Amino acid sequence: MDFELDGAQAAVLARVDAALAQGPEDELFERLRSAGLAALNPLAATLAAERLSRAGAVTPFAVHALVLPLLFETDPGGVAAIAGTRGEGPVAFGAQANLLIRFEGDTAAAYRCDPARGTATQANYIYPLGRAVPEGQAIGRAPAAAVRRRMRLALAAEAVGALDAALAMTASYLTGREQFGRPLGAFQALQHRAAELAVRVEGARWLTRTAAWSDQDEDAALAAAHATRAARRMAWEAHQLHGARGFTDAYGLGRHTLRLQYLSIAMGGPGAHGGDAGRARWL
Amino acid sequence: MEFGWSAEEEAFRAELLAFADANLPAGWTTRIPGEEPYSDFTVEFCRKLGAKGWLAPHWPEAYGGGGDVSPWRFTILSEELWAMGEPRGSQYMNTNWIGPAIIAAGTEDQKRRFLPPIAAGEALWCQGFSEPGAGSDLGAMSTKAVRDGDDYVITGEKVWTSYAGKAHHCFLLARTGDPAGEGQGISIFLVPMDAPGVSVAPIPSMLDIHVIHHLKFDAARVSAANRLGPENGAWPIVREALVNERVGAPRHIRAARVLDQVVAAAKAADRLEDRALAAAGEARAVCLAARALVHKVRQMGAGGRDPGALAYLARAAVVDAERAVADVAADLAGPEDLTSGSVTDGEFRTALIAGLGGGSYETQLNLVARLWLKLPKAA
Repeated sequence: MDFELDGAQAAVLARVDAALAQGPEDELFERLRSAGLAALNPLAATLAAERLSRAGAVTPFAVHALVLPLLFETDPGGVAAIAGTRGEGPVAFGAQANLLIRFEGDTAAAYRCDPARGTATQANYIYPLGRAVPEGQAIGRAPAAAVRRRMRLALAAEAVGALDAALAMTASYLTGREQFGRPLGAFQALQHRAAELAVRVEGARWLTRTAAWSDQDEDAALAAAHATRAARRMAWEAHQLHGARGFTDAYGLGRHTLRLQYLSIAMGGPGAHGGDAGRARWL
Repeated sequence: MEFGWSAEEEAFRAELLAFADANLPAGWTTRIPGEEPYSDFTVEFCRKLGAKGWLAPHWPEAYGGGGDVSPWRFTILSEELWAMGEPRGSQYMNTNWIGPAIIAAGTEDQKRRFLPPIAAGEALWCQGFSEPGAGSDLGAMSTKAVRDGDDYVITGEKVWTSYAGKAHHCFLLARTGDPAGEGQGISIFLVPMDAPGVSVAPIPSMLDIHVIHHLKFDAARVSAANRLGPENGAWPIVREALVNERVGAPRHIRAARVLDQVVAAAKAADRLEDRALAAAGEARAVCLAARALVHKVRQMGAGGRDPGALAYLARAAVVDAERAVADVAADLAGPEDLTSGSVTDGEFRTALIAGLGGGSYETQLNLVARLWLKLPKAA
């Protein structure tokens, strides 16, 4: 048991930071890929996904690093989307995808698709949402439960990054903004609400990291449940504590709270994850 | 970063469980920690743990400890024993924080006098902090200790005191100086409970599973050799002690086991609906999140280091865990669960205590706001 980064993990995060610093966001994913970050163990991939989301990056990295290794021995290239965890509908990177993973009973199957035939959806949840059209025969398969497990790790890791960023913005705002002759952060009513958010953010962070280390279905569902419950609470509280300034594009809080809202819907909310965790443990 | 137990740690856990299995009376594990603080059984059980070196593995060897550098053997002991109803009785508190406070601040004479009996399972302690007029605002306490030659004369009252009924010593805070002066004028005394002028009475309460006491000090005389740390120097010692106390009781582990029990009972009675199952899954997540946070604090605080503000955050998470489980237990309960001594009944009452014992939940939030989030001091 060791809660400190080891050398390899620290090196992964240094490469992530370098990729973030190096250039335009539309090339970020290719930079991460060429830095060898698509081939990581689940904990390292989770740490990297958390760091990217903390920085506000929008990238298919987490799915590629955590889910695709279950279906392919080597990186198939391109951009993958995953459909059908909650019925049919638009999914992240659906219109950009040249690879679509679908759930077919107990199996998840990967199909090629042509991005030219994908359709973008009008939506405002940070990730580009859209639909992909699968073609031909499946070119990769994995057990559906394993794919769900890794999707949950990806989701929880990105949620933790966005939770962390939203809380940091909130604490900074409460410190700097003065009303009634003192900083908002000196009001105990607001201090307690911010502190309760911190408890949830840190809980979600370490539950997600421990789940990534164990890589077990139940643990991933628990992490996703806790992270999405925190996400719901953060969306309300971060905006409420910011006042209307938090709505503005210039301020940028929405980049994190809209991501959190998406993440708490994409695979179902905390009740759905909690239910799956409960079924895994008790039924 | 890795989150596994080593083979040695797993072997220790197995050895501990086998020892408990061989030594616990039937039905013991249904008890709530603190329910039986100093019965003949718990006292004898502690002597056996002490003889095996299992009460204070994390203390220096010179004072009866095991000299562990790693925090995990003591963590495993704490988790498993608390989850099985805490057969150490009140003595978990002695090794969690009373001993470490004496290790950190005691004179050599105090260490030699007080620590070996704790490590051997021969000492019963209580903690005299809260007063009728000073709860979370400890600095407002009015119990006085007045120097008289080689002694102090202590006068005042302490309330809500756990484990005082048979305690040999009290870890007492008392005023020795000006509230506006150095350290708010507060000092620590290790007071023999049999000193003339000390009296103890239980306070009737709704808790059922836990007895709280009223302590009176009527010109009780205690040697100056029993003052811990400098005069008016209580706070740094108390701060560190409270950090240890806050993560010392692994309530979240027992809460997770209560959750297993109430879900199993509901399933057997065919009343486990999907919504309740989902709520139970979420409550388990709250318990395991608290566990991960407490483990992190344990690592940060190993070897007497200060784990910092995360300790307060972890304590708030532990309170959340008890409450989440108590709520699910109530949701799943039937009328028979209203019976005194039922799992659900005990979980409700112990979850109520969790938010106050070791400092109120709100005190933890104040500290998280100030020290973790760096928010300004409240006006």
